[in-house]
Amino acid sequence: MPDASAIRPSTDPAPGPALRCRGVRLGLAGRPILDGIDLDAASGAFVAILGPSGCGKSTLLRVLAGLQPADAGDIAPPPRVGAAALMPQADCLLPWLRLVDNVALGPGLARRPGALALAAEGLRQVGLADFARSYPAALSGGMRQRAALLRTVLGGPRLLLLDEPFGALDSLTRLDLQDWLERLWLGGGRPSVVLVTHDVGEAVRLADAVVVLSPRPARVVAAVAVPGPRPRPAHFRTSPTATALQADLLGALGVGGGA
Amino acid sequence: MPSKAAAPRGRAGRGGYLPALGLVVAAVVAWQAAVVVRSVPAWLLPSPARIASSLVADRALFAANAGTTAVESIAGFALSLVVAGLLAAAIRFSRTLERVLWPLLVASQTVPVPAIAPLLVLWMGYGIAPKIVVVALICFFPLTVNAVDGLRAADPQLLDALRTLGADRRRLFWQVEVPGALPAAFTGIKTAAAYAVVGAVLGEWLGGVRGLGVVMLQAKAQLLTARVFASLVWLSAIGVAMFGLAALAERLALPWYHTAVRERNWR
Repeated sequence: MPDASAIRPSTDPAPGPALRCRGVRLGLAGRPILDGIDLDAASGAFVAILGPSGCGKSTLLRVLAGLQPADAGDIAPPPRVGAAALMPQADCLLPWLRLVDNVALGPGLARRPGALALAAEGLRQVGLADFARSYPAALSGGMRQRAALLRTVLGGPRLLLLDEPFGALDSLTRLDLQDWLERLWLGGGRPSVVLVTHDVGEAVRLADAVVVLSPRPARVVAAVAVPGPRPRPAHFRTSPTATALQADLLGALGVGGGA
Repeated sequence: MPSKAAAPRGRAGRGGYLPALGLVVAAVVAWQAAVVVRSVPAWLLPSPARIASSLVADRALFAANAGTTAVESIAGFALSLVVAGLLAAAIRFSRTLERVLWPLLVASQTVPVPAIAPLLVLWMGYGIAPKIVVVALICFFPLTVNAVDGLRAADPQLLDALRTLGADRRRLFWQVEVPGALPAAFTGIKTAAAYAVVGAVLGEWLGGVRGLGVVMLQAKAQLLTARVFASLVWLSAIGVAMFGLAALAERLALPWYHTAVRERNWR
């Protein structure tokens, strides 16, 4: 993997904002979705949210992005559209723009100079240089997801909300891109990140803290810190700390025989 | 790579027009045979050969009048395109305007244009203006409805994602909604382009001194039925040409769309 710091997501030296949610509630169409969510992320921290499918993880991200007002609860800083960059689960690329132009849209909308050059370099780093001039329809789901992640990251947001950004990737590419994302995050002024996933290994590999949600309506059933140096060493995934944490988290999710 | 069976069909350049051409040739031959065998009088149903000779003999007459009809069709279409675009944008931007305009738009289609056309002649005289308006009225509905549907089709998830990246309402409209509406809009544009010439002839029938519609009326009065049919050939040629230009514009404007369709066919 090439040096991720060549495309620093941000030139802002200060890490991203600390995030604090207390008792966030939301019902949609009369059905409770979020049932009092408490969430804490230190400034510049990487937080992973784990939860069963359909538990309201994506809805929580929409609330944090300012797209969906909560019914009750406090969120600091208050969500505002444009303050946090959201990468939805569907890749949401524009079919009429070539890949490089799609990616350049991120830095372009954030008014960063040299958006096209950033996009081209980013595509090179995620192994898509040969497809820069292709339309999204010509690419696989995994390729589109990588481009969408780049588009979101390259705008230099101070808060990044990622909804299963690696869900459509094969497992090898996924491991590679997890390493890449960590380097990008460390090299890029440490935006605060909230990552939704249902891959326990991915949560432990990337996050400083992992929050486990219950089935809908979502409540926090566990919150654990992931200790370890940054960047995570190569053997981190298979270290006793990581494997023990993964077992704990699977237990909290109600899967397997964890603690 | 595409297999032969999965290749896109029905387009020029792959022999796609050959079956249609074959059908026309067969019909013309059958028509000629029927007219000759049954000795149908030429004023009632001229043979294809007579129509062809009218096309040649009256070519100066047709050339002089086809231009008028073509100009009316194109001008009316262009006028309608501008109005439809503005209206679709207004409907997209304002819920109030949508509630006011949409029912009126649909209701307007229940008023037959041939019933309005005499009024237009009354108000605007026998010049080119009422013809252009009739064409615009004919083109207006498919243009507007398809443009509005296209604008409505924008993916809300995509709009939301770009909003979080810093896109404002204006950029979302121009960078997401308008490009995304183009495939549907072009459906309307192609339909309207083919209809436009119908409006022009309708306008000319209700009073005028030039145009293919006028030629048809005069030929019919003189029982020059072959010339009436020859006028139809010209009208059809103008309509097909306008449709062809619209289809060409679509291909040039939407390279990504045709790529996407091709890719789907390959899978």
